[in-house]
Amino acid sequence: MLRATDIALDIGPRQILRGIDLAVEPGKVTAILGPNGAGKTTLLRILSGEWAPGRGSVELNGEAIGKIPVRRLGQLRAYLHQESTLDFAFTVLEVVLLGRSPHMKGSERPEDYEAARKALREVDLADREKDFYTALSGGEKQRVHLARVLCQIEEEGIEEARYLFLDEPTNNLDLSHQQTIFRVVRRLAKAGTAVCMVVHDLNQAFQVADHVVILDKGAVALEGEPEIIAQSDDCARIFGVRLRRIEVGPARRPYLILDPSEEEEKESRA
Amino acid sequence: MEAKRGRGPRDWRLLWVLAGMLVLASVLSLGLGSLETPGKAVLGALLQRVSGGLWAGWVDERVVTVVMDIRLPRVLVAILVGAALATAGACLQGLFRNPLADPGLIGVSSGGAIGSILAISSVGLLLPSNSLLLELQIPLWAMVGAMVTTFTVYRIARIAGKTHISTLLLAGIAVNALAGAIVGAMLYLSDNDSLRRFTFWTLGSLQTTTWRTFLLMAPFIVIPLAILPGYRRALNAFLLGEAEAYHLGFNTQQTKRVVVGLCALMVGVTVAFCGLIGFVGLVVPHLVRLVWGPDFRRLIPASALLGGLLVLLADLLARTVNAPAEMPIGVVTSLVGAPFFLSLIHRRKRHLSY
Repeated sequence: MLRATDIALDIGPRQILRGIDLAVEPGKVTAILGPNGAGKTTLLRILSGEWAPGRGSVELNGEAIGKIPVRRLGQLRAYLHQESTLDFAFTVLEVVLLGRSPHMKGSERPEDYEAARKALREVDLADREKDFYTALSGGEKQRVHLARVLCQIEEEGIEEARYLFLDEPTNNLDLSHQQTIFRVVRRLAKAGTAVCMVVHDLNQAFQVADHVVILDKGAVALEGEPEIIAQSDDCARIFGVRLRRIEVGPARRPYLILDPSEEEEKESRA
Repeated sequence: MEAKRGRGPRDWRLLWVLAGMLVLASVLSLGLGSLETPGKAVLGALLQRVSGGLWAGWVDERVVTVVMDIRLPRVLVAILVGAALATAGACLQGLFRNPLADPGLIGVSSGGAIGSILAISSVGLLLPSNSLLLELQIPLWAMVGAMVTTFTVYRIARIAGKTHISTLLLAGIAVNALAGAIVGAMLYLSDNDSLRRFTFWTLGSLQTTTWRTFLLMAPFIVIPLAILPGYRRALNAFLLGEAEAYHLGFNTQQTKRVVVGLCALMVGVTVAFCGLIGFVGLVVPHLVRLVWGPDFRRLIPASALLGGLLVLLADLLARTVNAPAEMPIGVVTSLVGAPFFLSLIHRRKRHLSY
């Protein structure tokens, strides 16, 4: 369990985060949403140990995250940044193998290649392993980095819970590969990994998450199971839009869409 | 685009090729000069000295002296200098995630220039009673200048206990500009003779190399060269970004401190003794990456060997092309390196990937 207690962070005079209590549980997918500038990425960075909070504490599997050796931390959690750039001509396989760094002592072992290739298969890039990373499209690059973080936390023989942090993993991805990501995330959660992801789309969050956290102005504004959040009228208020709820399929899954009448009204007024 | 390079992580063939070429170039260098020495004589001289005079009499004592006491230390220093500049270039390019980074970025060269102009214009007089210190006046001051400047750059870039690469880059640019101004002011105040000596210093030379300079330089280069490969995996991860390297389990603060420090030592000592030898630190890692990919496990040893080879050949050219006069080695490295580099860029323009 990853537990954040009373997290706050100021950067200069600006309060980025305040009073955040949050638990990220193994076997569950936690989605973090919120308007631009709500502090989502900052929170993810603090939860993963990359940044130290100004106040409060983060505990990973019962240990203060700042006290865990960096290499050990690398074995327990992986982080996919919103945008990773790499200007050097590594091959796709070489980039993914970097994810195995925290588990290797010397050079790659056979199981490292195995893990890397398995991850590449999972993101539909198995046949591209010899290509240069620099020659890939934006969406393909994003999937290479996803494969890299996937094989980082898949090491046999580690008993403790593993954590995967994803900051807008569907960036640059077409619809079918967005589905791929959600499938992978669900699989990991089922296998006992804790996934904590920042997403933009409410409906994607409802589709994939077990627990939804909506940040607004640096604090938790709304939190709960997706079904409950979907029924709440607060979503519209937080994002400052008018939303309409529709229900789809035999399971009558709730979807929130922008209410088209709002724009129509604005246009007619203009 | 299919990767066509032969580059499994265990593919070390190129290293052997480079090492072989380095040995060949060394033998060639020992044989060429104002006193022509055929290969047989070079071998004889080596044997005579190594065997402690057991094979004496094979070759003229004069030849032995030229080969062993003038050319050999110079060959060794050339290899060390090239290895130091190229390895530092490779590591700093990785740290800065910029294939165009140059060892000069952290202030080593400009700091060395301040030290050297201080010594040349005799503002920084060391104890003249000690002849060794007097002889080493320029290198000592240049080394002090290089270290102080790099340390300043590093300290300026430190914000709230952490050094960020982007601030390090900015601090380096600013301090370099300031150092340039200081050198300019010193030059403005100095006489014609100092001006000439300083100009030649900036073009680099291995002319004054002796066994003593070799022994003084060697530890500052060999020790970093031995330690830096230990950071090859961390440097690979740094290519993804500092945050990514942290998440991959590397101690990023320590990596930055050690890599910058060791590179400063290596480059500082070459700047101190041999002046500014341009282009090697920038171009050699490029060449290696073009042929062999950006993985630091291969990049570091290959850069060291290729850098040593190039500086050795450049020095050979510098001292033979207009013998007995010598050309500044910095002129040779840039004169030969730049067109070669341009042709490489031109040929690969369509997929300029580093």
